[in-house]
Amino acid sequence: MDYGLKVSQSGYDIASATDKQLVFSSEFNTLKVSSIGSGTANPDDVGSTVTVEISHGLGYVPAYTVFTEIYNVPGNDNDFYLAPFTYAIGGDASIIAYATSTKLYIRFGADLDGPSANNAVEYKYVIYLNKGSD
Amino acid sequence: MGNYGIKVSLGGYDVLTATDRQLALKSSKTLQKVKVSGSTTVAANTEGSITHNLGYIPQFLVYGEDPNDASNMNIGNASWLYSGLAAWADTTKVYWEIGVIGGGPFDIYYYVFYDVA
Repeated sequence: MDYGLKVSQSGYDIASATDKQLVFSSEFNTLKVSSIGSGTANPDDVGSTVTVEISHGLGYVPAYTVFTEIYNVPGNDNDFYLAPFTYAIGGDASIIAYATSTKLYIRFGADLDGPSANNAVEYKYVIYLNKGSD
Repeated sequence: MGNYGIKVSLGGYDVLTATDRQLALKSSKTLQKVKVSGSTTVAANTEGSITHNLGYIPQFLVYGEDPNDASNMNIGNASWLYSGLAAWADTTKVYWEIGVIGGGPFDIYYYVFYDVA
């Protein structure tokens, strides 16, 4: 039995629309958001690497994205880049995100001077229900 | 207020017993929605952008032609000086720049989502 749900884009007949002309089809998986959040890290204040830990409670490694401010040159306050950030000049100023079955981690290098007030680095994250690892 | 909403399970799963990961749609879980997508080109070491005017930092994806191999599309990220393609957003635009000397124009493909980053 052929069953399911399809929604076509405006201007396309659902009976003849191709997959790319659909807004939604239950035939295909979708990225579903589990949680979003934001915060500020300031390795300059503490004088060492800062690793932010975000518990997700999913029990498996999820897919995720992290958007973050970067080093104050070339970064600007309130400009958000897709992580990771690797710093070419020298020192430990990188921003790296990684996930386990319990947490999302965002590591800010000890030499990172962010563009926000007091050299802080603002970040935002999206954790999906979808798996990021088998 | 009662329990209400829409669930659509993936093929092969009973919607009454499916886990969240076995659903194609659950109205209480956000699906990313595209505000604007498109393609353009950008010259070497030149900033390009698309205006979204959302008033907040949106989620985005930017792909750009690899200056060393036009058949490869790199994903834009924060590694400004090394990756070749930097991509970033503020509350009005999404930007990109390919940090290479000479060459181009390079193909760019972008998605800007309604969803808050």
